[in-house]
Amino acid sequence: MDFDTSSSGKGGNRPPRRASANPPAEGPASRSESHRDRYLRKVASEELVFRIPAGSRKAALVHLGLAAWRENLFDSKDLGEARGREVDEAGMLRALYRSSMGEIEHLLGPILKGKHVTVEGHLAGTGRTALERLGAEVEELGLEDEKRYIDMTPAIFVMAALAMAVRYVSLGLDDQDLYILAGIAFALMYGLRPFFSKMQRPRD
Amino acid sequence: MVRTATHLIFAESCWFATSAVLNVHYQVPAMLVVAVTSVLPDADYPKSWPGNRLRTVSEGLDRFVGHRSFLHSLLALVLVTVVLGLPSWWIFGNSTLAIAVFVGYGSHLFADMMALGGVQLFWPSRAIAVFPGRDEYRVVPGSNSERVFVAVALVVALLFYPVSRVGFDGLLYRLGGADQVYGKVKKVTDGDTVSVEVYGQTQPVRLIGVDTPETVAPGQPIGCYGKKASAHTKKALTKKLVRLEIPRIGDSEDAYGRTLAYVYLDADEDGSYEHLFNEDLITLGLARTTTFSHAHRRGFERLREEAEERGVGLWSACPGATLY
Repeated sequence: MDFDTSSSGKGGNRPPRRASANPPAEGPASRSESHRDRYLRKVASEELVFRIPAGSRKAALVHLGLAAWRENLFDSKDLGEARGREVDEAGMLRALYRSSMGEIEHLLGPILKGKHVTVEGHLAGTGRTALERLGAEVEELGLEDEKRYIDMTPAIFVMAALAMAVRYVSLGLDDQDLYILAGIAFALMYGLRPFFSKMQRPRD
Repeated sequence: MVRTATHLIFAESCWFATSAVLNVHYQVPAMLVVAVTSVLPDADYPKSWPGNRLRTVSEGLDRFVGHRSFLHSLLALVLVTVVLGLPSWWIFGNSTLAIAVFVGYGSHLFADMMALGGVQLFWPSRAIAVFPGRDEYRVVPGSNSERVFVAVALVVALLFYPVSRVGFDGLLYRLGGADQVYGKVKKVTDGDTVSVEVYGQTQPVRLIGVDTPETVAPGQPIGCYGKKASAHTKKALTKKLVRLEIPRIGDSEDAYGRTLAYVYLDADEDGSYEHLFNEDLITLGLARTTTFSHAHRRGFERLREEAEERGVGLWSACPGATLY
């Protein structure tokens, strides 16, 4: 029987775990090939190139996770957000977005090591550094029609600084009108500061 | 594309905010200029309202530079302000219309920057300027978010309109309220000082916000047009029943112990006492305005500016007359 769960039968007929660490070097994956076998075989392949769209660090990790999942290198069950279920592509994308960057990096680390990642554009902020830290070779294409955005939200903080300065200037000029205006402007900007911070374009 | 009506409403709310801050005059012509310049940038898009009317120019601009590029840049803002604003400043001798051109055109750029597509604000750079940075917080043209944007712009306009008329300080003084007493003018000392009998007691009253040339100040010569101002006040107020309005915010007396008040007359003789005599002195060119804050400061300054332009009273009779 194959249902021997006794301590004496522990590992009796089962191939040792290490046995699968030597995947077949070539040839199509057989029906009996486990997920881990496929994983190790593909990871060993140096020719695998991941192509992802431009974006932030989180977006890059999510797209890499999705690309790895499509190549059967990434098991959705490993993600805490997937709650041990098999998911479709939309579900995988959702689970990846909901997962922390640390968790995705932890899972992607062994897969990305030594791999080539081609980005269709530029990675914002620390995106490139994060992938390089995981051992990937990153190539940013910088396409002709790529859109580059300038976030003008920090101008609000400059305005707040100006409003604060104007309060003192108006005291010097003895201008009550200006003093009231600058006071209201500064109070508003200071009060809404957390909201303004959230309005900024994500970097990571 | 953000609708033309949205741009118009946003531009006017920006104008009210600007006029509240800068104390600019001539609201109506300025509002028209703001309205026209606020739709000008869309001339680079043939399907827009201005693009439809300037079809040839619009199609050319759309073909060569594209929508939301050159006409939506800081460069275009400066050029339009220089080309349209500066001549009006030179012709009318007033910066209001130049400011209106800048605000109207600039409001369009700002509104489009808040739309999902953003604008090439730093053209010829192709980088797209957006505010706020997060896509989900920006306005999607034609959607509910645009309607919310219009509603917020209308609320801003409604909030700033009264402030643009009286100023932040004026609003504060008006919110503080004023005490009112009725009395009879017993004596006119000079153009801006009278003695009023209230509840059987006579007290000196200094008219707020106006300054007529001196006629009785010890050690000072009689000022140009001072006697005429004094004669007008005597003629208008002597032995008249007046309503005194004494603001609750600020000093109620000046350094000489005179009560600071607005003097209201019953000009229509219907018992309403709503005619502000302080304004008459400015309108007739008999007084200058003072610099300190009070409830009617902006209104008085507008009247003084109009009197100065008309050249009435001391503004033509006294060469070298200074504002204060």
